[in-house]
Amino acid sequence: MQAEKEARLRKPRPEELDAIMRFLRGLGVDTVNPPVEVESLGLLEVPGAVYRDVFEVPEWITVKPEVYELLYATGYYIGLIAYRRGQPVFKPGLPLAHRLSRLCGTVMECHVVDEAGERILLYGKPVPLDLTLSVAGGVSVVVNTRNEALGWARLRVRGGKGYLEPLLDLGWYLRRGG
Amino acid sequence: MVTPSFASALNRILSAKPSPEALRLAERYGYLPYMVERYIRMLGPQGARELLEANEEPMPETIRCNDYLIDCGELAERLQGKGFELAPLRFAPHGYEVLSSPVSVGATHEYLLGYYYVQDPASMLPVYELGPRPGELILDMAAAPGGKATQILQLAMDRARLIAVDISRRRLRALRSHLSRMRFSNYVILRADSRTLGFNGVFDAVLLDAPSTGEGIIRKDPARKKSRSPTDLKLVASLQRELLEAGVEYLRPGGRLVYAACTLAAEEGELVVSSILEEREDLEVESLSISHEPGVEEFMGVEFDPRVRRCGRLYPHIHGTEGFFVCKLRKRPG
Repeated sequence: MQAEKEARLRKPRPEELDAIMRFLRGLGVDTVNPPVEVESLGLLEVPGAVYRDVFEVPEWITVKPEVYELLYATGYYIGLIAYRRGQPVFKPGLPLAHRLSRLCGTVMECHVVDEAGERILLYGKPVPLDLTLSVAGGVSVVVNTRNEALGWARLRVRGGKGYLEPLLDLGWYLRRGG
Repeated sequence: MVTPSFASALNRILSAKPSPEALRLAERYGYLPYMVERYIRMLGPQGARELLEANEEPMPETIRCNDYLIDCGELAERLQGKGFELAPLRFAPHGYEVLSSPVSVGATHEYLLGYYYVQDPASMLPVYELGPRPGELILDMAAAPGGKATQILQLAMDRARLIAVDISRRRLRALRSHLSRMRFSNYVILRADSRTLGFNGVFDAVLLDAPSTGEGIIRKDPARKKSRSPTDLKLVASLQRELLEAGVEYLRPGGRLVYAACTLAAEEGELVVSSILEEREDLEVESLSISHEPGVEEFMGVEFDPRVRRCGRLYPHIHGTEGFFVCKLRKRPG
């Protein structure tokens, strides 16, 4: 949960950038030419908050220090950095799923769900494999048959049965009330 | 700053005692009498009755297609394929009225994919009047929850530079969510009081969709028939004036500002605009492209700057929309 004090924008630290690149490499994405504009990445840091939102900050944003405290959000949302045992961990956001969906079936494997699977996923519920058309290993973008990104999910197996465990889906926009 | 003349004009307008006809109609339709008296003075007894009747009809649900992401024809086909019945809005190029829907309009996959925004019909019009263009620096002074902010970036294909400001943290969450859902990125959101931003002379365009009494959306929220007293109206009008005063300062010479309010109250519309026009020499009122009723030049014995005639009013009983006021100002170059 974000703390109440106002935010400031800063460049990611090397270890935070590594966390983002590590995540992308895990998807099979080329990090020599990554699908995010590394030079424009900014972390929104709120004192006392448990995570830091990561944005591609528009190049025309030159935020003066006196405006920092007013800053709420900016640019293309990539995901967030959380710290576990002092180490940064990157968690992707929904807009990043949309951007990466263009790469599905080419440089990266994605989870593809059918119409019934789409409905279940958007309720934030696990999707049985018989409602998928193909799956990637581990965490990946979930798309429908139109290649529209629906969110992120992890392939899991329990009791010999595989399923997609939703990590973040578009239904979040409704459940969050935003 | 509230000038003495503005305050006295407000008091004068709100001092009129409700007539017997106003009392009778207020009783019949469930309004505070002072509101009905104002409708009678503005529209005449017959017009007032027609307005009150129109306000009894529920607002149609309308959506704005996001053609930054999807062709509007394709969106309409997809929704119709799911059992929606849609009709294009004649006055809003991206707008559709939802005549019937099998599910809640805000719960479709297409909504979640960012392909449309649920937006009232008249509320779509100010941004068309603003005419945002790629490369422009644009300020949205009361941006949350994001209907017009997303529309600004949509019309400029995410190539305008938008500063979106609101004071409410709760509503900013919705603003950020909508911008993200509809996949816009060329913005910065500030949590601030728009009266004190200090960005003087900077913006190509400013949108002030002012906080209002919401009298215009009685069709959607009948509680507003009785929820705002004359004192509330004075407070809101004073805030609107302060916001407009600041917004005009933020414009660069040659820049344009669209002031809009979801209201029929002259106190929130013509009086606010007129009081700013009267104290500055560098503003013009531009004609609107939408079909509208003209702004009123006088109300309850208070005369306004005659240029407010070029402002626009939308009425539920004439236009089928929510009640709305919109005005486009231009700061003279140099």
